[in-house]
Amino acid sequence: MALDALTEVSDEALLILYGNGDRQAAQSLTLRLGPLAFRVAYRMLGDRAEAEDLAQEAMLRLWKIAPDWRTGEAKVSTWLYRVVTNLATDRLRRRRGVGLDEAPEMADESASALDQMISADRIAALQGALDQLPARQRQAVILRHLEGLSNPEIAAAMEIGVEAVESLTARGKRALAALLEGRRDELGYGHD
Amino acid sequence: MNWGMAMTDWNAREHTLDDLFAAARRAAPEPSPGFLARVIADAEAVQEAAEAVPVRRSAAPSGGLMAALRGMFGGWGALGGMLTATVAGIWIGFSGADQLGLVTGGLLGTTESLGTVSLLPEGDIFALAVQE
Repeated sequence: MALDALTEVSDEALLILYGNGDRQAAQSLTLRLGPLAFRVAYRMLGDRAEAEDLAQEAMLRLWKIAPDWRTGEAKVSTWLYRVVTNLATDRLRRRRGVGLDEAPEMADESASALDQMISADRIAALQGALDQLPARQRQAVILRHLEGLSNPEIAAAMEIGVEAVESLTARGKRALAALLEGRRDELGYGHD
Repeated sequence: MNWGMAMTDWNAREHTLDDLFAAARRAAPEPSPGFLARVIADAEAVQEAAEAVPVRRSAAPSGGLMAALRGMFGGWGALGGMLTATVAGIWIGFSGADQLGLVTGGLLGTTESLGTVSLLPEGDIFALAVQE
């Protein structure tokens, strides 16, 4: 598997290679973008199995659109962020009515033992709070603060203006802070 | 004083959030190997399907001849008008202009021979025929 040969190739070039029937491009794109799709889906939904299912669906859409991909219009990763977060938002809308007690717990199977010891509680607390945000705020906060996208990139992914992104992230952070306020002592932040 | 307290609270909250975001970024959730295998299998299935399709696609436009004609001429309305004009042309060709009175007599209420009628009459008989 000479996947190293494709490490310098852009996502877009790989997608075009894939569309032309290149099998190796499919593997490289999967290794690059599959984890991204899963990570964002998981943070949106808080459930591992559902996140894998959704990320697979998003990747399938990518494979299908490859032959019609218009070069230079959008980054492949931005397109994928958009598809994953939109699919997740749809599922969250269908899931309305889930009570706070039923909010999915953070499944930490993938984290190392050390990470689990040090920060599992904090990560679980953050995920629990994210799960309670309205879908659009959750989407903006995840893309900004966990995926590290710039505001213009988020605007492109969410198909809204930069000012709307700023508003959503600010409101999302305020809501998260309020949700976590009562747990600061428990999480070791009580004596800053 | 209260303002100072509020700012301190806000800074502490910001610090807490920033720290939680950083912890979450460090422990990014990873998908299972099974997930990656399923995604690659999907990719290969789509590629194989795409490789099989072009022959069929180029052999005939989807939807058949009528769909292609409909698309070419702008819908059923335009196609209906063209068909009516074609049938009228064939009728005139076979029967000759002398027999045109059989059609126009019914439409216009006249038995006048159209053998010498102007090619640009005041009333457009084909338009009337289509409306009918």
